[in-house]
Amino acid sequence: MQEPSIETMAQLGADVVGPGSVVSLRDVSKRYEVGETIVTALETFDLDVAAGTFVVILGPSGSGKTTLLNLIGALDTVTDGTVRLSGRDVSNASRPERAAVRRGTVSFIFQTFNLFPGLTALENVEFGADVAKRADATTRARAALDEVGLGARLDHFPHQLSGGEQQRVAVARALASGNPVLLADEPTGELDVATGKQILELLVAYAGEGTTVLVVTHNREIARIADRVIELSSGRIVSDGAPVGGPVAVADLQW
Amino acid sequence: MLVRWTWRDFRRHWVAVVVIAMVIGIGTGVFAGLGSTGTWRRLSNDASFDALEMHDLRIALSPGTFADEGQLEALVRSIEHPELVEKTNERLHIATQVDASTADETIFVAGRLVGLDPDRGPDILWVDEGRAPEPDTGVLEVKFANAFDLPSEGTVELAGGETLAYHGLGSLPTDFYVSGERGDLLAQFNFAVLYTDLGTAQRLADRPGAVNDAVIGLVDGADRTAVQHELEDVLASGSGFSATITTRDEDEAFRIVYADIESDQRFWNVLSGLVLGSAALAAFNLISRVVESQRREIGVGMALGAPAARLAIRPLLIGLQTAVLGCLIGIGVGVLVGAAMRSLLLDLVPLPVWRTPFQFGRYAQAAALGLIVPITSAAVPVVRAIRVEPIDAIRTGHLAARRTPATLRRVRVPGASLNQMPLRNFLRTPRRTMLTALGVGAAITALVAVLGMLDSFGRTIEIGDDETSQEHPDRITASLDTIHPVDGAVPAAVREVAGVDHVDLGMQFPATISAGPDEIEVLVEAIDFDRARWTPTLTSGSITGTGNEIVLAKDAAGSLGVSVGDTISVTHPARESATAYSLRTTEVVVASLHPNPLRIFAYIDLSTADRFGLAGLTNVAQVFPAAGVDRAEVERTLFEMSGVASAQPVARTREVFEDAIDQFTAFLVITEVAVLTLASLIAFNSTRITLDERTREHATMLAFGTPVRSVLATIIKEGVLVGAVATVIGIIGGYATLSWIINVLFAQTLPDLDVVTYVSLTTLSVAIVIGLVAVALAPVVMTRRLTRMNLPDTLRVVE
Repeated sequence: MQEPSIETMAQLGADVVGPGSVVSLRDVSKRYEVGETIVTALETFDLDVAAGTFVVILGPSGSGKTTLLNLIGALDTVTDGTVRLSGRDVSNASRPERAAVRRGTVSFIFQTFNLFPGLTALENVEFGADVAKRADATTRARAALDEVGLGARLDHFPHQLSGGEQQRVAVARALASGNPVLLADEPTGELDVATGKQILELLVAYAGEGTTVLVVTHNREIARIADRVIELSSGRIVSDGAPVGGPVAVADLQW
Repeated sequence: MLVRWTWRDFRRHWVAVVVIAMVIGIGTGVFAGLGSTGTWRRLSNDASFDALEMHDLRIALSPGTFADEGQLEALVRSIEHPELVEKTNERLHIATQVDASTADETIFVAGRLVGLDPDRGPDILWVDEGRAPEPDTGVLEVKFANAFDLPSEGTVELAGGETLAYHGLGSLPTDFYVSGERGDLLAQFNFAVLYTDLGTAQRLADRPGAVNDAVIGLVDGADRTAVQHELEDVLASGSGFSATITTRDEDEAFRIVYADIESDQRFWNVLSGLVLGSAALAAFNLISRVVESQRREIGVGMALGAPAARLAIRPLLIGLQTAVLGCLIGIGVGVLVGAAMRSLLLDLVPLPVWRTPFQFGRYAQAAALGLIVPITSAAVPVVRAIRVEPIDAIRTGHLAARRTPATLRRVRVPGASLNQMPLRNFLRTPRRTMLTALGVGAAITALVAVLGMLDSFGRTIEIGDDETSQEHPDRITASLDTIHPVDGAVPAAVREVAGVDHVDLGMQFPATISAGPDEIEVLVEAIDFDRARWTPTLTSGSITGTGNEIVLAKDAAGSLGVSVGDTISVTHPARESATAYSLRTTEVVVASLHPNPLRIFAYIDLSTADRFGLAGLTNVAQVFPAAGVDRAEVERTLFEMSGVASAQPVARTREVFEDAIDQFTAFLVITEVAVLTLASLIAFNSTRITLDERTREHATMLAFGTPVRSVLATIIKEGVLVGAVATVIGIIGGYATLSWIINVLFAQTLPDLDVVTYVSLTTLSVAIVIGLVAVALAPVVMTRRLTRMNLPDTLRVVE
C-alpha cells in the first residue's frame, strides 16, 4: 500500500480559514466523563472546510476522528469552542435546533449502511429527500438510484441487496437529500475492494458537483483521492493538506 | 464467568425481566387467587354445616297440615331402629308477608316465620349480629337484611298486622340458600325469613301448640336412607300425617350451595384461565424477543466453536430469572387477589365459619406454569438459533423479513416514505406481531368476557323488565292467600282498593310441562287474553281460543325442543271439588312464545283454564294503580288486606336482579383490575422491546434530522396497527368466550334464565381504549428515551 504524502495547508499557501467555509470549528474542545476520568477527545481544535471539498480524516482509534464527525454532523455538542455549519452556530444548540440544521445541511453514510429494512431501495432513498423537504422526492430518488447504478432494483428490500448495493442505496439517500455536506463514517469498511471503489467513485463525483464530502476512515489509501487530508492524533491535528502530487483517480487505489 | 455474565444480562434487561415477571405474576397470581375461592367456600360450608349441626333427615308436613308438639318426635321414636336417632327438633314454618319498610324504602315481601328452639340441634340457629330470639322477639335472615341494608335491630310487620321486633341477624343452615315458597329466583334477595322461639311463632300464627316440621340428627355412621325408609313406613302405616321426608343431601340449600360453588368455580377457572393464557402468550412473546436479541451472540459463539449447550445456558438463565421473579410476584398477586376475594366473600356470603387456608396445590400449579412458560419462551429462540448455520444466526434481521408474502411487504399507503414504515414494520415480522397482538388480545378477551357478562345480565333484565312492565310499569301483582272464586269477597275487595284503576284476576299454579323425556317446572298463569290490560307479548303464533293452548317462554320451548304448533303435556292441579285438587296431565298446543328470559313463566287463556278445571277461580290479581296515585300506598293497602298474601310491583324483579348483579360486579372488579394492569404491562413492554429492536432505525431517522415527534408518530402508528389487530382479536375472542359461558356454562348453572349474549357499546369502548389507545400511547412513555438517545453511539453499534 502506498503511504500518502501530505502537505500542510500552509505549504500550499491556501486560505482555509475564511467566512466562505461550509464547516467551521474554532477552539473546539470535547471532553467526556468516563467514570471519574475525564477523557479529552478533541483539544482546542480549529478547522474550516470550503464548499465542494473532498476531505478525508485519518487517524488511529481514539484519535478523535469520530468525535469530530459527530460535532460536524451536529450529532453532538462541544465542551468549548464554536462549530458552524453553513454559517449557523450549532455548538450548543438544542436537540431540535440541531435536528433542523441536520435536515437542511447534512446527510450521512454509515459503515453499516443503516437502511430501513421495511422500506424498498426507492423508499429508503425517498426518505432522504422527504426529510430534507425536497420537492418531488420520488423523482429525485429515482434519479439518485439511477446515478448509483441501481435503477433496476428500485423495489428491492435491503436484505435482497448485496452489501455494496446497500451502501450505494445509502449514497443515493444522501444524494437525494440535496444537502451541502455529506459525512461518511468508514463507508467502505464492510465492503470488498471493488465495491469499495465503486462507492468512492460516487463520493468523488458527488464532491465534484459541489457537495462537501468528509470521509472518516482508517484506510490511508483512500486519502490519496482526497482534495484534503486531515490526520488526527490524541485529539489534535497532526497534519492537514492535500496529498502529495494532488488527488489520484479512484481506479489507482489499491488495498 | 457465567454468573458474572448472567448478572450483566440481568442488569441490561432488568426492566424487561421485571415487567415480564409482573405479567407472569399477574397471570399466575390471578389463577391461584381466584382458584382458591372454590376450595375456601367448600371448606367453609362443610365447617358451617358441622358447626350448626345440619340435620340428617327432615320431616315436612304437607302444606296446611299441623301436628301437636311432641307428635313428630313420638313418630320418630316409633321407627324400627329408634336408637339410630340422636336428636329431633320440632319446628313451625308459617308462610307470611313481611313489611320491612324503612324511612327510605318500601319493602313488602313474601316471607316465612320459623318457630324453633334456637339453641338446640340439629339445625342450630346461627346469630351473626345481635342476640338469639327470646320470647316475642326474633332474628332476621342475614342475606335479606344485607340486601336491603337493614340494621341488626328493628321491627317488622307480618301478615295480619302482627309486629315482631328482631334483635339480631342470622340464619339456619337450611337457609344458607333461600328459595322462597315457590322456588322464586333470587329469593335470597327478596324473601324474608324470621326466626323466633316456638311459642312466639305459634302465637303469631294463631296455632298454639302446633308444629309442622322436624329435623333429625342421627348417630354417627347411621344410614340416612335406611332411616328415611323407616320413617316413610311409619308415616304410611296409619300415622295420620301426610309428609315429605328428605335427607340432608336432598335439602335444597345444602344441594344448591355446593352446586353453586362448583359452577362459580368453573366460571372463575374460565376467567383466570383467560388471564393466565394472556399472560403466558405475552410472556412467551416478550421473552422470545429479549432472547432473540442474543441470537447474534449465539451465532458468534457457534462460529468460534463453542458447544451449543453452553451457548444455550445464558439466554435460558434470562428465562429462569424471569420465571423465578414471576413466581415470587405471582405469590404476592395471588395473596392480594385471594385477600380481596376473601374479604368480598366474607362480606357477601355470610357463613358462621370461614376457612380460607393458603392453597398450596393451586399455587403450585400456577408456579409450575409460571416456571415453564418463561423457560420455554427462552428455549424456543435459542433452539432456533443453534439449529442453523452460525452465519445465519449472526444475520438476525434478515430471516424475519422473508416470511411475509412479497405483495404484502410492498403495500404502499398514501404519503411520504416515513408514512410507509409503520405498516411495513408491522408486516415485516408477522409472527412477532401476531404474538404481541395475541397477548394483548387475550387480555382484552378476558376483559370483554367479564364486562360482557354484566352487559348480558343487564340486557336480559331489560328484556324481562320491558316484557313485564310494557306500558304499565306500576303494575302490582297481588297474590291471594288461597284460591278464591272470581266473584268472591277477596277479589271484590281488591277491586275496591282506593287508588286502583283496574284489576285483572288470574289463576297462577305450578305445573310441569314435558315433551318426550324432557320436562320443565313452570308457573302457569291463566289470563283473559281478550280483555286483560297486561298480556304477554306474543312473538310468534297467536291465541285463538280453542281451549288447549299455552304460551311458553322462548327458552322453555327451546329446552323442550318444541316450537309453535307442537303439542306438549302439562301436569297441573285440577279442581275435583270445592276444596279438593288433584294432579292431572293435559295435552296442549304451543300456541305462541313470549320473550321473557325467565322460562318459568307460561300463560294460558281462560278458555284453556276451563279445560284444566280451573275456570271461575283466582289466586292472583294484577292491580293497576290509577294515574297520579302513589304505587307504594296501593301496595301497603293491599298488603294489609285480609286474603292478600303478597303485593309486589313488577318492577321489583328488576331491582332484585340488579342487587344480585351488584354483588357479582364486586367480584368481577378484581379480575377487571388484573386484566387492565396486564394489558397495560404487555403494551408497555412490547413497545419497549420494539424500541430496542428498532433503535438503530430510529437513530438513523434522528441523524437525518427527523423530528422526535415524527419518529414517535411512526412508532405510535405501528402501535395502532398492533392494537387494532389485538382489539379485533380481543373483541371476537371475548364475544366467543362470553357466548360459551352463557350458552354452555350458564345453561347448566342457570337453566331458568335465558341470558342473552350482549356486549354493550361501553364495553366495546373500554376494549378499544385498552387495545388501541393504551397500546398506541405506550410509546409516549418512551419519548424521553428517544429525545435522550445518544445518536453517535447508537449509530455506530454493530448488532
